[in-house]
Amino acid sequence: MDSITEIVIFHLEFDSVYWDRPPWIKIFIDDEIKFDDAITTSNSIVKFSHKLRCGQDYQLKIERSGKTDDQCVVDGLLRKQDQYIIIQKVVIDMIDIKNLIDDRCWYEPDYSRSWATEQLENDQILESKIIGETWLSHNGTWRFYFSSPIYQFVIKQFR
Amino acid sequence: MHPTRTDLTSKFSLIDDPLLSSLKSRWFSESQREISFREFLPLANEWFQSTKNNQISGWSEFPCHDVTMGCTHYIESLIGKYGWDGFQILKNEYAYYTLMGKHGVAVDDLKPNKPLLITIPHWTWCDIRPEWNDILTIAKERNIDIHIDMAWMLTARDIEIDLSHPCIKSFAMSMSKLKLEWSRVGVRWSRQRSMDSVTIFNEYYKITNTIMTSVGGFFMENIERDHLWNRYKSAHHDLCNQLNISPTKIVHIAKDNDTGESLGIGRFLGIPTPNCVQ
Repeated sequence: MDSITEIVIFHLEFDSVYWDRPPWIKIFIDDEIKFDDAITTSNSIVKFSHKLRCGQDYQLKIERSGKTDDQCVVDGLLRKQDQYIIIQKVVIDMIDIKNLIDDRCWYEPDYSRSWATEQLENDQILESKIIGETWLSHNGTWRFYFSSPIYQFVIKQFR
Repeated sequence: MHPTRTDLTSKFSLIDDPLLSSLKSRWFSESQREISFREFLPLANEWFQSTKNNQISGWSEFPCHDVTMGCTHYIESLIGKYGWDGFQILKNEYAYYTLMGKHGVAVDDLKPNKPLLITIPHWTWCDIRPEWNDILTIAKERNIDIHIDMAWMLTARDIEIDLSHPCIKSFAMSMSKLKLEWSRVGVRWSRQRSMDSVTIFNEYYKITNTIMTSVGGFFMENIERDHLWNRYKSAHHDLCNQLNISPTKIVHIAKDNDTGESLGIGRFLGIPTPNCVQ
């Protein structure tokens, strides 16, 4: 270990809701994949470490997939069955930063074609980037940007 | 004052050293300059490492240096980070833990993945714990991070320790044993800095408490790191001979020859005793 790098543990917790097929996520730090699996239970924990270079910016990216139109069953206005995933905790270097990420993370949904068409026909605006979203219903990509060292990144959020 | 064996107890008084007393007097009577955290840290890093009486290696593995208000601050910072149940200690540790209801475990009972706070050197053995190598082996096997409270280092000699073992994540030393309890200050060395009380103290409050770094820096500029042993080595041994007790590696502690009990001799040093070199 030297002064310009730090090895940091990432601890993420997810709630998974589904009735047929579980949601699937891939987690990356920049382009390095850290996790690639279905999330089958509530309070699922994904833990990994990554070596960060101090002074450098990073992206924590979660690609959520596995949702097809048939996974959401709607009866009129009532959603009877669905598949989604909620990011419950983002803990970096033992610091739960969930309350810091509201304005630093966003979700880029990959809307299903049929759903998007229906919404547009009803004059609904489909956001390409939803700031602060941690409820991942549609497939898509969630991004959170941070920098190393983590303790300085956290302190800066309060200044 | 001619101490006898019956005057000795297990109370470990620090040495009333004339130079330390005069520095305190000078601090209050003379004009002093402010020494910032930024100026203090490299000075302190060099000063603590300047010991010639001990063999401490591995400093370079710990590039992150932070000011502390003594080693108890370092401990409290770790406790704040890991939680009261989130760390472990061994038996016979610093009374602070026991007073707060924390109990130590045997070396074999150390739990995996739970940080260990340990005191080195330890007043019971006046040295590193005899199981130190076992502790390192177990820590590696069980993924235990080690954090070392080295509060007693300024009173120690002939301590040999390699801090580069990968399980050792941080350690701290302080100046309090130089009778500086009136302005406690020390340094924490870490492999990498993480968020905790000491980090916040150094980031947020570094311009608010410079009195302690100013006092610490003043003492460092006027006293050598090994002052206590350099000054009291002969007195320590002479007193032990006179009272038929055993010298140790801690300047203000001796051992009973029969029971091995640690005995405080600090209050008999710093004042002239027969055959003592002052």
